[in-house]
Amino acid sequence: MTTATERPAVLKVEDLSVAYGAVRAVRGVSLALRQAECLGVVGANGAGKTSLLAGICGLVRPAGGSVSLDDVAIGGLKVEETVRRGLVLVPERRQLFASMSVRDNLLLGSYVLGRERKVPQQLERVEELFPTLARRREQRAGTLSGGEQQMLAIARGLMSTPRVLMVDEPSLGLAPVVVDAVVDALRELRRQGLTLLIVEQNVRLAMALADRLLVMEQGVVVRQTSADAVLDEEALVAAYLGGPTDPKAERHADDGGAGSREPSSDRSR
Amino acid sequence: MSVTGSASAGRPGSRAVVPVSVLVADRWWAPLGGLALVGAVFFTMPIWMPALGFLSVEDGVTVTLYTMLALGMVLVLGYCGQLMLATNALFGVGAYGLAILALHQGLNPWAGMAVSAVAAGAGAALIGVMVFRLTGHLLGLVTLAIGYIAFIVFETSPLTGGASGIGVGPSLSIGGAVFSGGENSFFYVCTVAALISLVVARNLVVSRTGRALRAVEANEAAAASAGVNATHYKVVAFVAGAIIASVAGSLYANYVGVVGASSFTILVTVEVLLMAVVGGLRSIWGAPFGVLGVVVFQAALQTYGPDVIHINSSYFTTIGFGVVLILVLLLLPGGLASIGDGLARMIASWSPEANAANRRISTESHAVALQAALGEPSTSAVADVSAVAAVAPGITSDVEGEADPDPPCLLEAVGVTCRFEGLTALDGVSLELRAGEVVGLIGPNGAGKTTFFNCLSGHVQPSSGVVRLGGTDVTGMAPYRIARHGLARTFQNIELFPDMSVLENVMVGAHLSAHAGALSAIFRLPRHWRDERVLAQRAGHALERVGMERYAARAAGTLPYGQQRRVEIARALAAQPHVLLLDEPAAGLSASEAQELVELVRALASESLGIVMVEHNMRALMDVADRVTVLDSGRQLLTALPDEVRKDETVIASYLGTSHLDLSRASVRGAGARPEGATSVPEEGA
Amino acid sequence: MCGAALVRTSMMDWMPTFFATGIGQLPETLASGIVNGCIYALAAVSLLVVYNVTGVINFAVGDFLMAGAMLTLLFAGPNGDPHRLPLAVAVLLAVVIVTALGGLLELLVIHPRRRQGTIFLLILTIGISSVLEGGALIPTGSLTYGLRPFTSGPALSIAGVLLPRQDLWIVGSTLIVMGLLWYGATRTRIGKALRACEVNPTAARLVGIRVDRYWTIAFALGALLAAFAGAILVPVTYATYDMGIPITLKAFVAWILGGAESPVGAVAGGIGFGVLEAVVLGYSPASVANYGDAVPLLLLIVALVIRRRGLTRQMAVTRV
Repeated sequence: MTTATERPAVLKVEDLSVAYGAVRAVRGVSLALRQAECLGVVGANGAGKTSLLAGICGLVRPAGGSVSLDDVAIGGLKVEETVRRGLVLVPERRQLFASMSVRDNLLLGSYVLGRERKVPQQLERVEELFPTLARRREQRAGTLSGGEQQMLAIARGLMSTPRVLMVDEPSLGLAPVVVDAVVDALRELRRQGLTLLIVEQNVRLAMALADRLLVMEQGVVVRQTSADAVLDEEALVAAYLGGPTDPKAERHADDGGAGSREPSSDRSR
Repeated sequence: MSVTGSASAGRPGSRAVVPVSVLVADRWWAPLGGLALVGAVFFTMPIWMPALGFLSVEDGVTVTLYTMLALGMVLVLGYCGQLMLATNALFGVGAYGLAILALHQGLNPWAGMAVSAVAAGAGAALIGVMVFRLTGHLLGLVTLAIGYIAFIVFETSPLTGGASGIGVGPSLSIGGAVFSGGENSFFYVCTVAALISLVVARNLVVSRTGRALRAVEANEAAAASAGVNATHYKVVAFVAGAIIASVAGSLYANYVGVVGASSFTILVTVEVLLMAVVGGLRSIWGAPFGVLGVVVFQAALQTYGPDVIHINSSYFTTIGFGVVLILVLLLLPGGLASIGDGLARMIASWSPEANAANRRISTESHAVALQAALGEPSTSAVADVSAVAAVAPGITSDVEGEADPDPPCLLEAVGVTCRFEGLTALDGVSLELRAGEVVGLIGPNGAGKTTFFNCLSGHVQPSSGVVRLGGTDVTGMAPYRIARHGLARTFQNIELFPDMSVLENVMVGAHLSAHAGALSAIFRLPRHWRDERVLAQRAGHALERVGMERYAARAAGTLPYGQQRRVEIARALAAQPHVLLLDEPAAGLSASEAQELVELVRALASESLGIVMVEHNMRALMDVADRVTVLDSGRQLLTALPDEVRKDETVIASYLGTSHLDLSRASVRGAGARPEGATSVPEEGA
Repeated sequence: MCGAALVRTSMMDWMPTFFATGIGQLPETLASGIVNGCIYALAAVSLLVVYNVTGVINFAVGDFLMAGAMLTLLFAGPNGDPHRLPLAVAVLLAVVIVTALGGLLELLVIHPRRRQGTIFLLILTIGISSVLEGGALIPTGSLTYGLRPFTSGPALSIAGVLLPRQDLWIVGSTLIVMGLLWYGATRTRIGKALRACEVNPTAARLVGIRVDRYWTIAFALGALLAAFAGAILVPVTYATYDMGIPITLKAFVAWILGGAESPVGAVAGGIGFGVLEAVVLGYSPASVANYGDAVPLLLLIVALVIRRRGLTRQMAVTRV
């Protein structure tokens, strides 16, 4: 589809900063997410990916910047309120209601819908998408395998029929085979036209899912690229494991902030 | 080896920039001001209380005795953070102890008072050792139950005279002077006792012991990693409070003549809690004023209440207490003491020479907090580069040549495994650290790096495996004991004691280099002063190492983040460890701060300290590490030189993607299958 | 008088009236233990609900119970004044008022400081306890009151065991309340949301549950349970303004005894403690039994200190 850029932006984030006390975990990140688009955010530990999501959805109050969903400003709202507006986060480490049944987890996912008639329909839809969950309806969420828990977390997020689903580290702690299943599920959601924002440390996985990738380092977006553009392996390794080049030069570049760091990043700009 | 020693060696003749005399601001006369104020108010009570019309000297005795009880609450709850609600029991032990000993043993009242106090102290120690393993509110309810049981025993036991009570026997006397209940002279005995208790409590709090108490209150884990045995200090505080409460009880017994159980209900405890809260839980000097305030309030209510509402006046007290307790907690959580602090700050701002360290939070620190709030960059960060740089290069220059060919192994971990509820967080991780070596520890999220640190420092017990420190097996030891074997650490989310000054924080770090205990502190024995000087000196040196000496008097919590990191490192250094564990020391630092950190770590290693460092800032880590150990999902992928790690396929896979090939193929397949995946999609972010 | 001026004569009035009469037979002893245990169980579940959702130990639980008892007395009339409200209405009204009071006090007192540490909040609930006690003291004085049993008539004999009618009321209505609670927690949207707040507050926020509101709901529910316990208790004991604190302590012990995690544990703990208390006091020599509450409490503190399971698991997780 060539019109990806023409579709209206559903989620717009401008100059977002997130701070914990005096630590600035995210420093002025901007992004726009269009209808039915899938955006991946990659980067090493501590790059600020999770904090970015927390700031967008209001789990942490942003220190600066703005967030809007369908052109309505939602920056500064608490997460309980942004969920009601259709922005749902599937958090890192899944955060299930471990001692409650799979079904109750799903029903709680639709808490914001109240007693609407949509709920049973949505339950049916979600169980269709994740047949394993339908089979384990009465099982306690904490007793599911890691992959099933991840699927339940995603399914719970879908229960409130979100406009945008943000998924944090879907592959974390999962065996490769299981990761494939989770990726398949996310890909299916994409195909159905859900707007997705996926944070992932695993670059390959993110590339397999997303239309576009943002690479974060030290709280800033250092590069934006199409997922299909072959990422320069060496540059990626540098972003994750530190560059093998002259450390002094890099330190200066670091101060310079995003973008102007390496030749490879010029290409993507 | 010793950091301080080497530092001095590196810079011959260098001493702490800040003279110790300035660092140790406490003097023997320091409490006299507060004492004079409280004394003036207390000693004049026989004059001003009757003048008010609704108070009598009897209320004055109540004030003095309850001040003593409230001091115990402030010591244990305010300074140590432990909710011990057995005040009525301790008060009762003192009262009944005196009465019973006089009746059955014919003991002189002074001796009875002393024996009761010893008994209360011993009982408190016993209870403390048993229940301090419980946490927070559980402790509160268990000790409240103990108080309730004590009341029932007082009320029921034949020994205590049951409901009718027990006579007390002869009055207190010194030489020929007899102090008996009904007379003003007795009031003065109580006042002197209260003032002595104030000095005792104050001296205890401003000392090595007091710092340890406050450290335990602020952050038990961090205190333990500085070698502070939390239980020991909790018990010390509780015993001190118990002895004071027991003496108050004995005085009370003498005052009333007949001791009855109704004076020792658990409501006494609740009242004392109320008074301590009103005075300010974190303030010794607030306590007498809190007590005074509550007593005056109650008397006024009882006198004037019935004029307003025609109901039995004593019925108002309970609800009045409840309302006051709630209102103070909601509106003035620091109690009256916070008003006093405000006044002190105002006065201090008029007289610049005021004794800075006696105030918990200096005005200066407020300026910094303000600066931080306004987002103004602190100029100090830049200025301090030179301080670190001045230390670092001088030492690093001659390391390489002199390197010990076979430095001793400081830390050895073999097959450390750690499981939580079925989840294996660490699976057979091994590490060997030699003197002068920096080992980096990296791995993706959830790899188990911090868990590994916690296993090494004792904050988490490994399920299996062995940790040896300098040849001693320390596996499973409590953190404060491991600290004694020469291991110091910092924490991922800076765990400073925010209300304490920078210097005090670092002095807690040096805790183990001195031994002065509670008694030296209370009586201000020479040992106390000697040890304070040693600790301050050591702390001063450690602060100097990290270039923070000029902030010594600030409250640690008011410093900007980067400086807090440094204070935390200084606190670890002050322990003069052999092994230093740094958990993400560069997190949140600017590039230049990270560079300073790298240089500091190098300098420390050159003094044959062994350092293990978890760090996400790869540039900083790869720069400084001699070897890097990579963890992934609790397993050890490899340990190698930084350059090898960077090139290692498995490491790259663990960071960039586990099923490397599969997914990239999937990616191609997926891309082909979807129409929007055409390679001509324009680049974003142009 | 000095200290005494500050000390209300109080606890002296409170007697463990459940055991006022001598207990001879084991079945009767056990039965009366179970009856008292039901009261402890309700109070313990009240503590548990509030603690699980908010992390606050509600020191005022016994005082909410007292408030329920006092209001029931007020509306139903001391010993059956014919001009007062019918019993069922009195109980209902008392429970509704105390429930509202619980929610209101949470909003006014706990809510503004809910980010503070648990000890701070515990001290606030001590303040609430004093306010409730004082509020009851002003109209009632330090007098004691009693109420007729819900149904009159001689004690029933079941399988040879003599059971006063009110005892059956207590056991039966406790069972019903627990059943309703179970239904509410597992079948209703609010109940599930309340449990979600217990199990994982972060996740609860992520699905859009306004956790702060559920703090209020939890306090109201806790007050409801305690008030109901007070209403059914008042025919078998005398209500005094200061009956609360001993009940708080016993509820707390029951809660710990039951593992401090699940309502089932709290109920088991409550009944277990009731039976233990009955047996210990019923079969001790008078010289020991005179110490009343002190005996079972002491036993349990010792047990708790020696073996602190259940609690350590959830509370010892340090944040290192």
